[in-house]
Formats: sequence, structure tokens, C-alpha cells
Amino acid sequence: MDSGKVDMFMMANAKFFESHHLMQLREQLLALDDSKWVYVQTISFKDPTTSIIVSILAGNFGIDRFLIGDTGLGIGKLLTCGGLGIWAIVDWFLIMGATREKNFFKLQQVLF
Amino acid sequence: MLERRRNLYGLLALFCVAGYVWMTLNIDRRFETHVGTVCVFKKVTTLPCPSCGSTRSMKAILQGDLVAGFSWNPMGYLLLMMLLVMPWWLLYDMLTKRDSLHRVYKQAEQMVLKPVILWPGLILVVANWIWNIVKGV
Repeated sequence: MDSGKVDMFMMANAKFFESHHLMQLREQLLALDDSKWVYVQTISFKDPTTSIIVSILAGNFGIDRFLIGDTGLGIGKLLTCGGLGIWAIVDWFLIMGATREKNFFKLQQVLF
Repeated sequence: MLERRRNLYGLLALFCVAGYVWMTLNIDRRFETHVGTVCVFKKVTTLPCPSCGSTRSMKAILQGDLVAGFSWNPMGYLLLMMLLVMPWWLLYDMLTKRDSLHRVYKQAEQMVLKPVILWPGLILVVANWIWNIVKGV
């Protein structure tokens, strides 16, 4: 893949991924076939900032976990009143990282 | 994949331990009256959340009062079932080195997102929440 395109993609989407994934992602995108570029561009990533806001406002009901696609954990949180409130607070600190991990995983599914 | 499975099993084991500790503490009536509610939503808004009353429900079921268990919060049945089944399932998977629980979890996650289950489920949760608010749990 053309390095100009890849760098543009990285600049526009860097906030959606963990910093330690960025180099690996760049290498993968550079090695990617041009025909897959259109798929990569059509993926919609979840914004970590949105998930932290949702987590603070509705984390007790597990909405933040539902939002990033962790349905099972979302149900767990909903049933246990946010893990007696403790899990809800722990998730304020974990949810941004979890969102970025999910985005990375989503992109990996397209790349392979 | 293996790391995800390990994370899930660790988390479930932690929940089981926390659940048993919580229930053991709550069997003692003095603890219940001393601690009161731990629900942040209820403390902030004074309205019960969808799962408020689950502990009292599980306690009632354990004492044999199934009707009271249902009327406190039907979610208590679900939670109690999970608390009873999960440790054995985890143990079975650990001893036989299988991933049956992980597979069922993944399938359940997919199934829940199907509109046939998702919408009735959502309506039930909201209806239960409204019932909780009306009852003043």
C-alpha cells in the first residue's frame, strides 16, 4: 500500500488505537493489498471519549460495555448493579483502553 | 484468543467469589441494616435501578420463599442460578482443559444481539425497572 495513504489513515485514526499498536498497524497496512483499502476505510471505529462519557453516566447499567460490543459483560454489569458499583468505577479507568483494543481487534479482522 | 479466554475465566471466578462473599455477609441481618444500599444510582437519584432488590430476592429464595424472591426482583433467580452453576462449570473446564464455557458465552453473546431476543429482553428489563420504581424497592 502507498505510504502516503497509510500515513494519512494513521494520522486520522491514531486516537482510536493504543499507542503500542500504532507501529504494528502501520507495518500491516503498508503490507496490505490495495484491493482491501476500501474495506479498511469503511470500518467505523468507536470513540474512546464517547465510551468514557457513557461509562460515567450509565456505567452502572453496563451501557458502556454494550456500546463497545462486550454484550456478555454488559449483561453482567446490568444484572449486578454495576458489580455492586465497584466494577462501574473500575470501568471508568478501563473502558477507554478496552475501546481501543476492540477497535484494533476489529481492524485485525479486516486485515486477515 | 487464549488470553481472552483466560481473562473471561478469571473475571467469572472473581465474580463467583465476590457473589458468595456478598451473599454470606448479607445472610447476617445486622450487615444488611448497617450497610444499607450499595447502589450508586439509588443513592444519587433515590430511584431504584433495574437490579435493585436482587440480593433480597436471592436471600428470600434461599430461605424458601419463592414468591417473595420473585416479587423483590425476578433477576434474583437468574443471578442465583449463575452463582450455583458457574463455579462447577469453571471447575469442569479447568480440570478437563476444555473451553465449553467460553464457547457458550460467545454463542450467547451472538444470540442476544438477534432482534427476536434483543427487543423482548430490553422490554422485560425496562418493565422490571418500572415495576421496581412502582414497588419502591
